[in-house]
Amino acid sequence: MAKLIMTADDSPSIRQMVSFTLKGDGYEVIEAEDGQDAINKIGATKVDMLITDLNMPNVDGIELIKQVRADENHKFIPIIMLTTESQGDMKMKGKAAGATGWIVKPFKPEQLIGVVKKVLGAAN
Amino acid sequence: MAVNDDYRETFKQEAAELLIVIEQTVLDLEDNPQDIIAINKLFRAMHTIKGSGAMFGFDTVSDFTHHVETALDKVRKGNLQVDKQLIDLVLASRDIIQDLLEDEDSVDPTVFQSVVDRLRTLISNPTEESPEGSVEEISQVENNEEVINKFFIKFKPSANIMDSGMDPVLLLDELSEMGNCKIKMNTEEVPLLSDLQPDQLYIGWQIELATTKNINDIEDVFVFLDEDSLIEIEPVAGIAPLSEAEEADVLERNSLVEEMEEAKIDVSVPVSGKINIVEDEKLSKLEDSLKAESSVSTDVAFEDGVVPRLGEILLNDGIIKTEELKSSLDKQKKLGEVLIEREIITEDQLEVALEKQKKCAKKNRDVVAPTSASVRVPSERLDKLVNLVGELVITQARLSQEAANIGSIDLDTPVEDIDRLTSELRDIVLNIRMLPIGTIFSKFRRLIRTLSGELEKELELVTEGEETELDKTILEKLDNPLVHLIRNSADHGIETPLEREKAGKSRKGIVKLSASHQGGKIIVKIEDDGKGIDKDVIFAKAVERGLVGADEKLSAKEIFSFIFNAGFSTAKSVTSVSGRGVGMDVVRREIEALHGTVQIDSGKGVGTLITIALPLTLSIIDGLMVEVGGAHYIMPLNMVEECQELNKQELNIVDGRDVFSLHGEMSSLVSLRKFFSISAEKTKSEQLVVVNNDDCLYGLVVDKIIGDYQAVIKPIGHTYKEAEGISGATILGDGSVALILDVHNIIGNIKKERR
Repeated sequence: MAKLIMTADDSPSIRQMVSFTLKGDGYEVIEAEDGQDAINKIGATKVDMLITDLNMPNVDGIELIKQVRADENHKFIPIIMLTTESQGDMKMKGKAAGATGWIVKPFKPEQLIGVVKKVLGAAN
Repeated sequence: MAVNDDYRETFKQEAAELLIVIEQTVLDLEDNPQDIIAINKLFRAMHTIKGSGAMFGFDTVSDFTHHVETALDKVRKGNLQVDKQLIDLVLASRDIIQDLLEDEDSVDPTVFQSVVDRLRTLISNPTEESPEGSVEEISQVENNEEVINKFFIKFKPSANIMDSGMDPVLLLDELSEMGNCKIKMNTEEVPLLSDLQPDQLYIGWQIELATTKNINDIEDVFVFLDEDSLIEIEPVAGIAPLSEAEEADVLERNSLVEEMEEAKIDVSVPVSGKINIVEDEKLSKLEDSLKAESSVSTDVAFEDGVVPRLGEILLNDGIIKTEELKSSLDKQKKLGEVLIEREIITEDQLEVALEKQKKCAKKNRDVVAPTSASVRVPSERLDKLVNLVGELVITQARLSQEAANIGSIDLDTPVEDIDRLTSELRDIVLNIRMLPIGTIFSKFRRLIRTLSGELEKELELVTEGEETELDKTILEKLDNPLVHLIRNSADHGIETPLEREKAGKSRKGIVKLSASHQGGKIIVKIEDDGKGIDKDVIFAKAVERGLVGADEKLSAKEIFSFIFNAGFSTAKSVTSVSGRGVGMDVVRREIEALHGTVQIDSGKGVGTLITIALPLTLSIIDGLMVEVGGAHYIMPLNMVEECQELNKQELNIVDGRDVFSLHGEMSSLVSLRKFFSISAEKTKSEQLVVVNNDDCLYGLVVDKIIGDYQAVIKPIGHTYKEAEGISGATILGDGSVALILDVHNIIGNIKKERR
């Protein structure tokens, strides 16, 4: 079974792009509209990886990372945060919260795939 | 991969929505400059536009928004005040973003530059960093040099590396793909099984790599590595081949790694005695205790989750240390304790309240964000769905008719079921197309703000019923007339502050915009407390223009309706008194195109009220089917007041017009047979449909009333576009066509004829 990746972002266009790109490489993707949505969905499904925005309503990315790390089923999954160059300190905060790595916006689909392969490996 | 146009479209849509949010939030912020939630919301919206914009090739948008975001970040951090200047600037920026999204060339470069300059001034120390080229960590620079470099790499991940979701094996794989790679594993640190913690990593690697890539590429492989991990990359002149024993080690590596991976998955019990998570865990515990019990926690903090607590801010700014914060917080008394001490509440009451709080907190966690329940669908698909449902309704009507012809009891039940299901489906589908009118209301706040500046008047917009839903198409077409009417109210209705004071009114003029449901219709009202319209002047003007006889007695409503006549407003006397009427005929035409009506009511010195009544939808109406001369006609059911037999004795002719007495009052009578010049022979008995048009009752004479009918409105061909009294057509169950009557137009024509 293909690996399941969750993309959490309050921007539909980013979600769509991430989802489309990853599906093109054989991954399965589940979308979440914000941190709270992600937490709810992760509670119901085991995902193999999380790609999350940091600036989100309801529950923000940092808090989401913390909560996912605290979940036994997802203690060791790779978590990649999407950040922008103006948020250097956010990178450190994210790392401290348990993120595996980060992608700086704007990014290209190939770069996304590159990072996913780095931390998760191929889709199958 | 080329940037997909689909993404661009989605992003544009998303940005448009965000711009609405931005506008609304900025205006909220103006009313309440300390609103931290609004500031955060604003920042987030700008941030998304910036981030996503750059992703989908809107570089100018992204670069520009970067400035706004920086300014807002300063506001967020308390380094910049929310004042009129800032509000103006953010609004101007918002407009520029909107224009940039539409067409970059449409933006006036001088305006653009001036806003950028103003933003730069606002950001006292503008950062010169460019948002471009920021993909520092993962850039995959093509290396054209075919020189083979050799490296010796020492890699010892920190013991708790897997806590961050990192899998070192993948990094080794990545290195292997870069060229000729030899990997040797160091296992000296692996403890005895009894001491082994399954989620810790004890091994390290030595790697010899011969590759065409350079040292930066190799460093990139380890980009996400934490600080505690050891990584040394050294270029070497030549590579010594691994000994046989070492080769065996390499092979062993695979099996051991597999075991480790299994162990990783099997950890189901939380590992005790962890020493790695230090500050963060403490902090999060601290946060939890703050959330659960602290007397400073408020609803506001819960709502968005982004409001930083005082302790966090002080900690962040390095003013206090974690230990100091923690010990101080421990000293802080909890609200419950204080209340008990002061004997305001009992311990039992406290316990009950705490239990409630726990439940609320749980509920908060359980609540699914309301937005997550919605799905984004292109509006064309909705249009198609509505069309299909329309066809279904027609087919269903036909089915009912055929079933009635056959007269089989077995057929009756399923046909009735389909009937019920179809109307349910129709209602739901039409409902999907409904949008709250508030989406356009918010835009008018901005309009009023601009107008008060332009006209030097003090204006306030009050809105009501924002949640009232309207068909998307109607909503879109309502925008123009409303802008026009609000402009009129602000410009000509509301007096200057000085005039208002003289008239004993408050300096601030109020324009009220409200929407509500009223029996199958949407009523939109635009009301101002300005100087009103003098109806005598209007009447005199109407007489002068020959629209009405000087001796005719008209109601106030009828008099005001002259304002909607084309060209009426150009008359000097009207504009000098009230100024109303500029383009009001256009407003009426636009509203009528939506099958709506518009009325004016006004009191001199008190204000003016404009009432717009609109149908819920444009595609399907509940109609009353009637028959005249063998043909079927449909009239909108919501205009019908009552139906009755035509009693010849109640007929009369007054002033050359047919009237009949209805509940003791005389009402005008219109024969559809006469109106449409139908030559077919008159039936023995005729029936009367009493309709309500602009609050006046009229009687429409028909041959026969057939009953109510769900009509799917189909546009009529070009040839019939100009036909009076008809607004559309529908297809009946037997495939024949019935015309939909434009009752408003029919009555208007009769009135005209009379003159």
